[in-house]
Amino acid sequence: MPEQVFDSALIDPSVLVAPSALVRHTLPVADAMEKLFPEGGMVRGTTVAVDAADGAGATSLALTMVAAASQAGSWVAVVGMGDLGLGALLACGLDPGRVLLVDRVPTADWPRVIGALAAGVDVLVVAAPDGGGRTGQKTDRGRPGRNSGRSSGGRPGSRSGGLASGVGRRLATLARERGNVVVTMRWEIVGFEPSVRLKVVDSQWDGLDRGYGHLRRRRMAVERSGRGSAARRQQHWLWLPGDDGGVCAADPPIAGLDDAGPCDAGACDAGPSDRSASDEGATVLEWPGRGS
Amino acid sequence: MNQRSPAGAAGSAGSPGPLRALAVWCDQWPVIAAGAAPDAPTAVVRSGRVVAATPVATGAGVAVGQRRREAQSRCPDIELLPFDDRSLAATFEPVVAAVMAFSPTVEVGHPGDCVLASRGPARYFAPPGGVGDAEASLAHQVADAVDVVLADMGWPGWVRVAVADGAVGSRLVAAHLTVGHTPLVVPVGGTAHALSALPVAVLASPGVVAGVDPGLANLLRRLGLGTVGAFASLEPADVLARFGGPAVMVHALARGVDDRPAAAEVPAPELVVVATLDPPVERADALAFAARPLADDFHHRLASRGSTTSVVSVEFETDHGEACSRLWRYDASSAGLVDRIRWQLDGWLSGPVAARPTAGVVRLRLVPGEVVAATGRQLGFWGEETAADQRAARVVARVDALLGPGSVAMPGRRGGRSPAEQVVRVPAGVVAAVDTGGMPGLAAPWPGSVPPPAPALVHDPPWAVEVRDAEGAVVCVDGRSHLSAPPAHVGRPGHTQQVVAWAGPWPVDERWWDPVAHRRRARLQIQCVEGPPLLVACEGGRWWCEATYD
Repeated sequence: MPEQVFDSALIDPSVLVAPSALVRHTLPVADAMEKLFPEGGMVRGTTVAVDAADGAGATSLALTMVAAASQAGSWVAVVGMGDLGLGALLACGLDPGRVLLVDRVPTADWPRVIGALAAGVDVLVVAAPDGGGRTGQKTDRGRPGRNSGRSSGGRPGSRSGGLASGVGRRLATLARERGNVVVTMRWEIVGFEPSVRLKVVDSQWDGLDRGYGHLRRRRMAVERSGRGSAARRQQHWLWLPGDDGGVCAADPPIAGLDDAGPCDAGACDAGPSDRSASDEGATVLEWPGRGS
Repeated sequence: MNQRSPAGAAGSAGSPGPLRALAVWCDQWPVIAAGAAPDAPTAVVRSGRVVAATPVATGAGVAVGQRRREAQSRCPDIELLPFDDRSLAATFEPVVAAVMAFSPTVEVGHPGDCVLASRGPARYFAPPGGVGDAEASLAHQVADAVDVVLADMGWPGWVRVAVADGAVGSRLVAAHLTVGHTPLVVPVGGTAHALSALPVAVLASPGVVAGVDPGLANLLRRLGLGTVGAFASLEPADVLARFGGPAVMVHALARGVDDRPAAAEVPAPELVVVATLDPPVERADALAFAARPLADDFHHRLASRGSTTSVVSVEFETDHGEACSRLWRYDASSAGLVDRIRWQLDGWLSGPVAARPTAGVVRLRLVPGEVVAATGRQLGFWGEETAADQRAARVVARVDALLGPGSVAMPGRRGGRSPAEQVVRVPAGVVAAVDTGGMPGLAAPWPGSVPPPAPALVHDPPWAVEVRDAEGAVVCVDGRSHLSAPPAHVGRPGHTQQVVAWAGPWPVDERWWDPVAHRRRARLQIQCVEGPPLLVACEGGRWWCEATYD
């Protein structure tokens, strides 16, 4: 029988012992992404919100962000993302042996499932709970003839899917008490400011042309904001995926010039030399106060 | 502390190491059970064939498997005794009782042999002061205890004891010791070498691994693989390709890898079957009759989950509350299980008077079990991999209990062309059973698949899109995979956007030999003015968006 200890973790976190003091403080991220985090990695006990403007790229960014931690031995749970492309999940570098996918969680069970998962994994990637608008029924795989043509582009977005208010605060409390990193995916929770907020503000693919080529790599601009030391708003350019499928720092695009970028040199495993490149690439926007 | 001693590798946190097992083997048990003396030419005959013979008879040329007439011609003064199933188990009961003084989890294969996990007992019964090899010491103690029992029956020195990796390995090593050999301890990892000179037939038989083709041993011998060692030298993938699944288990045993998983799953409660017997059953044959449907049910429950167990615990309870439980080796057949249930009750009824039941059996439970789980596993201190993995396993069980089995999945690589086929969701509960690294077809080239990077969102089921050319006509793909016109507007019906860039088509003609599963598709990568690139597919003249490069 599974242990019965943690099922009320969301409701009453005060009964739990915080293990966060005992384990490593931060979970690693890929070298090129260290700039996005003030501590150089995902700090245990914090929340990270990943979102994207219209250019998209949030899913790839979130997966790549947690990949290094997965390779370092952390378990990752992905909740509520029934349309996640698993090929991309592996290509981003997650260890398939340490990934748990919980695709559909009824709203009624959502807090208990999240609480149970938080007890056993280091990183929780959480999409907005099932508000009833998602596709991803596993029953009719195969021929597409049975597709209802339902809108699946309409993401639950800012809805909190029928959960009581304060879900953001409870997620943050859960993360802090259990020492997890909770990543919210495209989920704008009203009145909740995550520790780090990453937003893909620009995303341009490379390699596709009018009738030939294929998608090869993507340059994206990620804007970081958040609370505390992350409040200073910054923007970084990344190749994600780069030429080798990994992530590396990119230069900002120059208008009217199809530049080759640093990835062609095969320097995608961002070494020390690459970091200086990313320093130059970082456009630091100084904001007077705390971010939003 | 962390040093791996031969007695117990349980302390190391990483892999738990091979299961060390101690096997007790009493050769030719049917003649002992029949009450023969070792110095008389005697043999036990079943269905006209010799199943066991005393050493005197063997010396005269009588061998197991001979016909009655042949045995009589070799040894004219031989005494042939009928095979008695009941006395077989009942007479072995004192031996099991003697072995159970060392470990509560004694697994009886057949009357005549039993196995116990030796790691814990070896430490517990280690010689004081820690001098000498704990396993050898345990083996000698077990041999002495069993020898006392056998001496009472008139067969002193007949027991053979061996310690090796795995239940099957240790049993085979013990079975092939010479009579009177001192207990043998095969070092950790040395089991394959110890078995290598044996004929391959000792492993490749249905009695050892369930489901093995009876002709496998003969086939291997004719292929020139006469010994276990020769068979072990093959590549596992080749063995699977040539001889099929059960042979892989045989091959694993030949390489010294036990068939039993090192990290056993705790049996699910629904696999336990219980029969309440009313009126109480007092005779073994009546119990066997009642147990048959129960054993069938047990077998089907296991089989329907696609799993099996290597041991089963048979538990009786009488009207007066006495209980008797014993572990038996489970050979994946309900008939064999019924035999073992009958043997156990025979043994209990004819055991020492003090331990005999005083009333009929009212409850019979069959519980699948794993000896491995009983030995326990030392977890690392916090933050270590095994601890994290165990926590994750508990979480899987917990969430499965909340949302229903199979609701937690893990990615598993498979072969395929479409993004949804290449990596699939595998229920996390069965991932341990499926080797996700070695699926056939994984390394195949899969022509027609779309080149990487893989799309981050895969729509299952895909949603319908419109793909129109500059004139507004629907783009179609002909039999030679040519587009009727370059796509210019793509999107949901009524909400198309202008195409900026596109590539393809990547035509796929899958399973053309199968009229039902046959699919012809052509895929395009399309970048519109806004939004992420899409992977769209044309099938049967209609377009679907299969994935999004998010």
